[in-house]
Amino acid sequence: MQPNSRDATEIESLYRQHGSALLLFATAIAGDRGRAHDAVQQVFLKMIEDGNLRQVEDKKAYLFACVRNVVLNEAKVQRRNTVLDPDSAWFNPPDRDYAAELNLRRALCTLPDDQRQVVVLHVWGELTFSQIADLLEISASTAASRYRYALARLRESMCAKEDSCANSRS
Amino acid sequence: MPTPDLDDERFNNERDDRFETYLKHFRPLAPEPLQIETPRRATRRSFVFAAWAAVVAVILIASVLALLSRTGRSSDGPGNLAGGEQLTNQQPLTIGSANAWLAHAPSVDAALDRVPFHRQSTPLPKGKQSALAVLSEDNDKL
Repeated sequence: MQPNSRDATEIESLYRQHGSALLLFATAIAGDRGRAHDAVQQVFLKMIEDGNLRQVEDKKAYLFACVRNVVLNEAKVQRRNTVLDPDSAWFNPPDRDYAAELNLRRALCTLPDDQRQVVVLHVWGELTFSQIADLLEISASTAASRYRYALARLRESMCAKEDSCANSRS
Repeated sequence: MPTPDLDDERFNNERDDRFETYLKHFRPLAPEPLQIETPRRATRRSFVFAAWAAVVAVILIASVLALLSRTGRSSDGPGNLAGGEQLTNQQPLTIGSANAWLAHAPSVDAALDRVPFHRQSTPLPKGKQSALAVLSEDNDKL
């Protein structure tokens, strides 16, 4: 099924809307920014080629699931262990606080894969625990508890390095 | 099983919410633009191609028309001389053709303007002279 121009416009709109979070999610799994970018592009190009977006109800969750599958499949093919690249920026920090950005990135890298994915999906992907549960094939309560653990570890890790939690306390 | 401390739980929830809000201030970097060929872009590209093709076609047609009109104009001149003779740069000028040319030209000046003069394209070998030069010398002696 070939997409018409309306489909293409909708896909472009989805890319603008969720591209950043999808890229972050892919980076959080793949570790490498370039591979993550390729995965996101691949998902959207395939969507344009197949034109099967109309049948999807929850498009946002579907996109995150597609990106995850592509990254994991590619990692399986390459038989590489995921090594997070701490040198490339992942975020636009508030007030251009690049030290805080680095601090957050390093803290995210210290999290276990499953917790990091849940944090990224909930905070920046804005997915509910129910959506995350469907995506990761876990229960909603497991997703919620992973999130709480991850948040506690992140806070601990970030506050240990510098006083970047001061803003969150106020 | 110990009863959870509700105050502690509420405090933790509030603390988590604040920390989550803090994290949301970090905005994920935007990806590069999607490298896609949408139908709209394809249509625009084909339109540009068609426009260029039209321009090239117009130029070609104009060139052909200009060439044809030039050929037609040249055939209106010497080609319509009496006896169907044509005086072109390729033919030698003879007295007969010159007479015919002068007879049909609107004026003598116009006829002379159109007379093709041949330039000696190949230089003569050393020690040789053209026949015209020899004859002119003979005329001087006479």
